[in-house]
Amino acid sequence: VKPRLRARLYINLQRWLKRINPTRLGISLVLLASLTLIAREYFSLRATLLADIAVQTSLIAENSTAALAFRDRDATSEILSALRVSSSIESAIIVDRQYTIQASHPRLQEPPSEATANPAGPAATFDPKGFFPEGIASDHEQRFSLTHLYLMRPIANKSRPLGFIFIKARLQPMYEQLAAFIGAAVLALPVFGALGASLLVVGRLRGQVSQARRELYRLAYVDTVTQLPNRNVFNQRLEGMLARMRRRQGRLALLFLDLDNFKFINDTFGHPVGDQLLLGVTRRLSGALRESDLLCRLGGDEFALILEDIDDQSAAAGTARRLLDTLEPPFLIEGREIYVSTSIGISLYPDDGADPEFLLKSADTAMYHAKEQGRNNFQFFSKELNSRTARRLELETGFRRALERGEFHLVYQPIFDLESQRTTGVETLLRWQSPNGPIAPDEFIPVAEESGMILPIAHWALRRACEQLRAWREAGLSDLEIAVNLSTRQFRDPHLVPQIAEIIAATGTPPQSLWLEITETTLMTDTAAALRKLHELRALGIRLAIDDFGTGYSSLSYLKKLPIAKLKIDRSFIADLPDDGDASAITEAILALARSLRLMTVAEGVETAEQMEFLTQRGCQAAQGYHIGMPVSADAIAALVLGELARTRKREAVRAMA
Amino acid sequence: LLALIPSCCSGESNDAASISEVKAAFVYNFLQFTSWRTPPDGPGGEMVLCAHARGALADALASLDGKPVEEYRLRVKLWPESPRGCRIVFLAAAVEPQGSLILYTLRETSSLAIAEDAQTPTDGVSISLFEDGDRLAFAINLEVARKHGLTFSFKLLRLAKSVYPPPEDEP
Repeated sequence: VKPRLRARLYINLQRWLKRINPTRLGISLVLLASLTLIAREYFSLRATLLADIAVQTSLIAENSTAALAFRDRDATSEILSALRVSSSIESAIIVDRQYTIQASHPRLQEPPSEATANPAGPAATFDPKGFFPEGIASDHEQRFSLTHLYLMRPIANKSRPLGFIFIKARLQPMYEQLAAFIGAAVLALPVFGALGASLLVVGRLRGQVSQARRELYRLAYVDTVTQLPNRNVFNQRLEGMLARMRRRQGRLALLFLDLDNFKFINDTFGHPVGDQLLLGVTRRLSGALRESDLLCRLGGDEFALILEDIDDQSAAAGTARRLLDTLEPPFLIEGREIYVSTSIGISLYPDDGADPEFLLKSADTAMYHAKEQGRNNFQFFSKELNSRTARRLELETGFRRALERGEFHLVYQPIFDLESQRTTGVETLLRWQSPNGPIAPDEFIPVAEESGMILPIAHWALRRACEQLRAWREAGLSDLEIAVNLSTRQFRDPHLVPQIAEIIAATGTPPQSLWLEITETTLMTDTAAALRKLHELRALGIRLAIDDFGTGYSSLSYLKKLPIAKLKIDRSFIADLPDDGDASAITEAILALARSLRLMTVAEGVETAEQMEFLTQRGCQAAQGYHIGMPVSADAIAALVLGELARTRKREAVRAMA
Repeated sequence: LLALIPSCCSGESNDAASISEVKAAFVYNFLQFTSWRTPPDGPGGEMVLCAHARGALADALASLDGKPVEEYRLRVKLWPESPRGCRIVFLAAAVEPQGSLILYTLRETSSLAIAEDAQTPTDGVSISLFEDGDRLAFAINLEVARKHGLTFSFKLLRLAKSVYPPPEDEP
């Protein structure tokens, strides 16, 4: 029974608590507080009045002892008259031990002045029943009526009793004080109420503010997609962990993860899928980690992982391998199986450095190395990588200087028409002659691509090429065509088409003499936009060639839609000609394809007479390569072409004569 | 008024007896508001009042015998042969010229001399008692009191008809 009773009591209490209206409760509390204060004030005032009157009475009793002893009524009255300044004391009477009135205040009825000379004279006596109806039990009496305070004190000299003093004090001044207090309290009530209400509001506001603050904190430190700590937290925690490792002389690994094909997935399936994938990846990665490991999302598809207190680099390698494995099974998102892998770069404290920024940069460098190694693997940072990084940095900072000081120049590789046996065009190639010697294009062009410096460099190169074409045309090489490479970055640049239009207009370049070479992979990303851009370029009259054809995965149907006029067969097929069956077959297929699409064909990297022979027999229209001509200067091209022209004219003249 | 001194406050029939009793009551009251620099030896000791008075006044004063003064008991001696040992001396109006000799004997002692006197206490007298109209009044000579090692309560002083020397006006 008892527990049930308790439960019911609890439920009732809950109900009752629920019924409480906070505002009404607040007002009730304020009222209660006010009443308590008023009651307190009343009793305090009463006590003060009593103490006050008692002190005054005692003073008079003490002062009047001699006067009373000597029956000096004048002196006694004089002493009593000091009470006239008291606002509370209404009357005071001093009597001897027989209650004969010796003095009174105010002197309402002057007691008969029989004085000492007439001790037998009639004397008025005082009846204490008027003050204390219930009688007197001691010589210290006090009583509160509704309107008055009655007080009785003995008068004695050195414990010799002489008489008594009776005091009647009005309570009205006290009531006035109390009324003033209540008035103030009543006035203050709305103020308290308002204060209380505003406190409630402020409290609620404060709640909201702190919630907002928490939200801001969350936004500032937590990645919204994956709920992982973000870059801010990573930076802070890394510093803290490094400090701890320094103290403990421990080792720490920093893993930099970059998902391999995330951008492609995001572009193909859309951001919602991308976000879900990130979340799924986060879950799997977290599942493969220790409690003490810190995984953060640095942004995009980049994650950073800090492993504290590891013994050696094999522990970091073990974790990295686990992470790669955990991503191996496909993710099932919106009914699709999506495969994603990651490239991991690892740097170690203290092995690779102690500076948090450097460690992160090192892991980043190692991650790029992993990408270069074919993705879906991990790589440790190394001194060698470091020097590569330094080299990269050197290049990056060198580009601007190189542009300003004219360290870049173009060379031209002849494109030989196999049918007419003439050099009909050249491909422009960029060279960098730095003060420390030439820098290979294979080295600096990827760096320029990544840093974005490719844009001003390529812009310069295109203009230079067009200027050179005009110079050649003025020198009599009127049919020569020029081919310029467009990099992926450049092709995506929204200013590309207007810039080219501006250059060909400014240099007076006949657009049909200019070829732009674009790789298959460049065309394959964001195909709709690529197609639109190709049409814009074509509209300028410029002709387009697909560079390195055969290495990408262009579909035939896609190829048919492109406004291109030429395929350049990748050098990797040409190199194995003519003996390798596969290479021959592919080359023949490409040539057949081009024919059916009415595209011109150029073979790249032709290095032998046999290759040239093979290509000529299969109907390839043009070739370029060391067998035909190395990249050379503009003057050398002019000499070559003019030489060919002269020979041709001579042959024709001979033929005409014959 | 009659109740002032309980031992003698029963109804009196003649004025002379009454006024003598009032005078005796005054004397006893003076003692209540007086402190001695050198009190009598030992607790429960006696305080000797030498009364040089006759008639009803002598009787009234004699009736004070045995009454308490602080922690002492009052001992009333009427017309003692020598004033030696007297802490209080009462000189009625009619005792001159012996009074001067008594006062001279007591000049260096801690004693209180009360005299029925004129309004100004004569030399050697601390309190003079006199009739002021229909009232009994007293005057105090502080200089004499100080010489005899006596201090009067301010409450007594304020009841005195006059106090000598008059308080100096401070600038």
